[in-house]
Amino acid sequence: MKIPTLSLAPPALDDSRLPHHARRRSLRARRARGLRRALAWVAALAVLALVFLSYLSPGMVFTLANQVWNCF
Amino acid sequence: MTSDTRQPLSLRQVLVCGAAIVTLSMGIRHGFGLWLQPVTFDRGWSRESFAFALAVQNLAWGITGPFTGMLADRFGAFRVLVAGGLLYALGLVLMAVSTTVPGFLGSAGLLLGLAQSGTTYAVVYGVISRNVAADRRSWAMGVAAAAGSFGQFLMVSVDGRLIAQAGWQNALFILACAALAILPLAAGLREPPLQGSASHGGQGVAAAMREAFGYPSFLLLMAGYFVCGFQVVFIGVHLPSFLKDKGLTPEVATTALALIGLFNVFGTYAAGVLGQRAPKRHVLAGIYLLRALVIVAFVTSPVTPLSVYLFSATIGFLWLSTVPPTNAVVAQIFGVRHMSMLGGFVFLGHQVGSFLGVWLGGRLRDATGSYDLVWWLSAALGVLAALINLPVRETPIARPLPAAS
Repeated sequence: MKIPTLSLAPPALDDSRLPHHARRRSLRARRARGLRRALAWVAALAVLALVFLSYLSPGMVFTLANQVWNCF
Repeated sequence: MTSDTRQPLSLRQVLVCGAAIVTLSMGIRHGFGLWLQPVTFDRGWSRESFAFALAVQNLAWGITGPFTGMLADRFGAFRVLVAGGLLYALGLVLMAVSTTVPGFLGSAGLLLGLAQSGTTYAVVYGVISRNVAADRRSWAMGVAAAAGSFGQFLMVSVDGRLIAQAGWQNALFILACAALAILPLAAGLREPPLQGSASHGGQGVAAAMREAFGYPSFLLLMAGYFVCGFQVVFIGVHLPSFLKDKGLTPEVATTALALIGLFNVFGTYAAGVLGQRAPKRHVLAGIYLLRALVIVAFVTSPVTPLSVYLFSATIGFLWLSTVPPTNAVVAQIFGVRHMSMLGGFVFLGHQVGSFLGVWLGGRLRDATGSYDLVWWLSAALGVLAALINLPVRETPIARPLPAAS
């Protein structure tokens, strides 16, 4: 059974029949795409971590806790 | 099915603008509970008045959803988004300056509910459905839903700071300015008018509604979404109160809400990706079943800060993860022509469930002295939702070809 993965990479192109220089260009382009994708993931995770940490700062915990607790 | 001959918008444009709009619209509304204390204190109103306005907002969002969706399908999402953004800003300003309970009900309740129906998932998903190929649609919906989840996660923290630093009224004025950013973003979702046979003819609104409500899978999806609304809003609203009953500190409740928000972003995105690779009915059944299992594990274990954090992370992962596969199935079965309207009808089921989740949560807690019954009801509904999603038929509906003239 094929296990689904969470990879978003587009289907790999068969470039084995391309000339050598074209193959290298294709490889470089794929690496650049992969790098851009990895950077986007790192940036997204960093933003999420920053927002999460903002919840845990003492001032914020106090403010939110008061506001949430006073609802009940 | 009518052929759509227009040039689709670029994937990047649809995703960036759609995600930014949903981030704003879902984010701004998510922190409204934080205004309860300052508004009721300043105006001298009861908490019930404030809570009633928010309940009306949720119902108005659900009830008007099919109609704004219908308008978006007919006249284009751009116009509906612009109108929704303007109403959002107006509703926030009026919410800040309302000095009477009926005025607050009209602004924070009706106006903002209507604005949300015009700026959230149903309308944006219509554009995504029409412009993203079927083989990437669930993923694209996952991206937009994850953006909405991020908006919710971000804005509670931002709202708390705004209220503390600028005062509750100024905080609402600032959010009104933020809501106006929906207008330029909507331009990125402006679709060219339909050409040829697609601009007229084809299936009408009444026929689309008859077809959807006569198709068992659509009703099953609505029923599943009802359970989603029930569980999510019951937990979101009553979890802090439940933790208070169990003697935990408010800091635990705050961290729990933050964890739900954080893992919700990952969960909605993962569900969109998974919906692209596995039958969506299986993804939905799995989500509902896992929710039931997580709830049962939580209520049968001793409630400690650690168990609360584990529960929050796992239920957060499953929080809005039903949104991309549910909407992707609707587009898959019925096509994209009436997607916003049909998405609005499915969402109405969600909002009715939300209303009952909040109301029954409080009602049964008062009647029995604990939340146990509602937790078990949530778990049972999760199992039921898992079972009713399994027979959903995902294949496109077969329509008779029009007779040749």
